Amino acid sequence: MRKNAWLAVGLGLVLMSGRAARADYWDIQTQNDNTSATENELVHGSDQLHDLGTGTLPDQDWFAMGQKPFSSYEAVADATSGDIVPLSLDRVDAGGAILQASQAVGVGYTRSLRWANQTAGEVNNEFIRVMSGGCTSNCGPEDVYRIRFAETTYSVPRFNNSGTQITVMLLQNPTNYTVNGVVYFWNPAGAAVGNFPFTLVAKQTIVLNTSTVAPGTAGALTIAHDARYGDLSGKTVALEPSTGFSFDSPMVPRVH
Amino acid sequence: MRLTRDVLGAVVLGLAAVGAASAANISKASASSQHRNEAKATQHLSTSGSVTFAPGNLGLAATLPANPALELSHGYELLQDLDISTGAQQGTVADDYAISQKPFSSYEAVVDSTSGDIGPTLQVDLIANDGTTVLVSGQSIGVGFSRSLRFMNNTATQIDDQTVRVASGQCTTDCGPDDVYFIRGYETTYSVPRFNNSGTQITVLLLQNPTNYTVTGHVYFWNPSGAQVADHPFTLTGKQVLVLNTATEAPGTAGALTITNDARYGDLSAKTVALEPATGFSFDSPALPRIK
Repeated sequence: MRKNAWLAVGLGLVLMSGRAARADYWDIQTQNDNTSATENELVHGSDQLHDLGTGTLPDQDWFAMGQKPFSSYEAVADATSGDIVPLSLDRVDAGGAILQASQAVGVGYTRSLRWANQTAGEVNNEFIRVMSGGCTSNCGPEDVYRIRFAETTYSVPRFNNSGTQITVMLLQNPTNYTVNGVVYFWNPAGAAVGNFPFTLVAKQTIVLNTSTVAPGTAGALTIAHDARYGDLSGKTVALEPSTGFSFDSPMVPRVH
Repeated sequence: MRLTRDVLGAVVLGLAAVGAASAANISKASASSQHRNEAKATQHLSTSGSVTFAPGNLGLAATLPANPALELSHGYELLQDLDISTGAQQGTVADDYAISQKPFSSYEAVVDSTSGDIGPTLQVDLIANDGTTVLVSGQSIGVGFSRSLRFMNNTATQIDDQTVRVASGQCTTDCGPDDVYFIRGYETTYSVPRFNNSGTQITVLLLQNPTNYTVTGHVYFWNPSGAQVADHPFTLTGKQVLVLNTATEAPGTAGALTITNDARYGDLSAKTVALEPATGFSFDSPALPRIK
C-alpha cells in the first residue's frame, strides 16, 4: 500500500515536471538569444512574447534584423509586466555598443525605436537588444514583454512632371512629435532621380511641388522616415492644365 | 486490489499535484494570454481519446496523434514547433500545411521568430502532390533566419493537393518542443475595382514595385459579368513602375482587375486612372491587398 501511495505521488510529480507554459522559447535553446549570435530574426510583422528570466546574470534578448536600402523601421516593446520597467530597447552593433536608444511612446513603460537606412546598401550587422533596468539579476519568467517589428517605409505609385503636367505632394504629420525623413523619387525603370529630405513638426504639412525635385520626368515615390508605423498621411496630386485632368495617388504603408 | 483510504489519498495527492502544475501553467499562460505565443497548434487542435486505469494500475502510456492536420489560409498565424514526437515525416522533422490555391490567385507563407537550434537551415517549401517534389523554395527575407515562400496559381483550376512544408536542417531527429517558429499565411492577390476602355475613355494602370527585389506576376482583366478578357504578364525590377495603357489589352470594354504576383504580402502599390477626354473627367481606383 505504501509503495502504491508513493507511486501515485510520483505520477503527479512526473506530470508536474512537464514543460511549463514558458513564454521565451528563444532563451532556453542551446543557441540562445543572449548575444549577437542570436538566430532570432525580426522581420516586417514579427510579434513575439519574451521574458527576461535569468539565473544569476541579467538577461539580454538580442534580435537580428536586415535593413533594406532607403527603408525605415520600427521596433516596439510593450505589454511589460510590472517588475521589468524601466525597459531598455536599443539598436546596437555586434559588440553591444548602443547606436540608438528607444523613446517612450506613452507614460514610459512602452518603448519605440525608429530609424531609417538612407543608404543604397543593405545593413545586416546591427541588432535590437532588450534589457530590464528594473529586475536585473532577479528577473523571473513572469517578467515579460512583447516585441513587434515593422517596416515603416511608405510608397506612392505615381508622380508625373512630364510635358505640362506637374505633381504636388502633400505630406502630413498628424502626430504630436517631430518627424524627419526623405522622399525618394524613382523613374519608371527604377532609377533614383531625386530626393527630398524633410522635417515636419507636429501637425505640419508639406506641400511640395515635385517638379522642383524631379523636373521633366515621371515615376513613383518611396518615403523613409522616423515616425511610428502608419503615423504619417499623404498623397500626390498630378495636374494637367491643358486638359483639366487631376490625378490623386494615395501614400500607403506596407501592410502586414 | 481494493482502493483503500491510503491509496485514494495518494491518488488525490498526486492529482492535486497535477492540478497545481496545471494551475501554475494556467496562471503563467494567463499573464500572456493575449499574445499569440500561446497559440500552440496542439492547443488549437482538439484531440480526443480515453485511457482506462485498471484497479491498481497507476501508469499508462498515452500516444498523441502525429502531426495533426494543419491548413494555411489568409490571415493564419501560429507558433508551432518541430517536436519530433508530433512532426516526423519523410525521415526528418517537418510540419506540413495543406493550402487551397484558388484560380488566378497568389499566396505567401512567412516563417519567422525561429528559435536558435532550428538554425539558418530552415526550409519552407511548396511540395507537389507526390509528397516529395519541391515546387518552390522559400527565400531569405532578412539576414537569413526567416523565410518567405511565395507562389501563384495562374491557372483556372483550384489546387488543393500541394502542401507547404516547414523543416529544419539543423535540429532534425532531435528537435524538441522548444524548437519553435512562427508561421503566417497570406493571399497576396490584389484587386482593382475598375478599368474602363469603353467609348473614348481609356484607363492606365500604374503598378509600382517599391521593394529592392524583382517581382513577376499577371494582371487579369475581368468584364462586369466575370469573364476573363485579357491577361498581362509583367516583371518589375526593384523600384520599377509599370505604366500600362489597358486599352491595348482590353479594348472597348470595362470591368475590374486582379493581380497575382510573387511579391510579399502588401509590398506592391498600384492604381488605375480612367480618363474621359470628352468631359475632362478622371477616375482613380486603388489596388487593394486582401485585408485580414
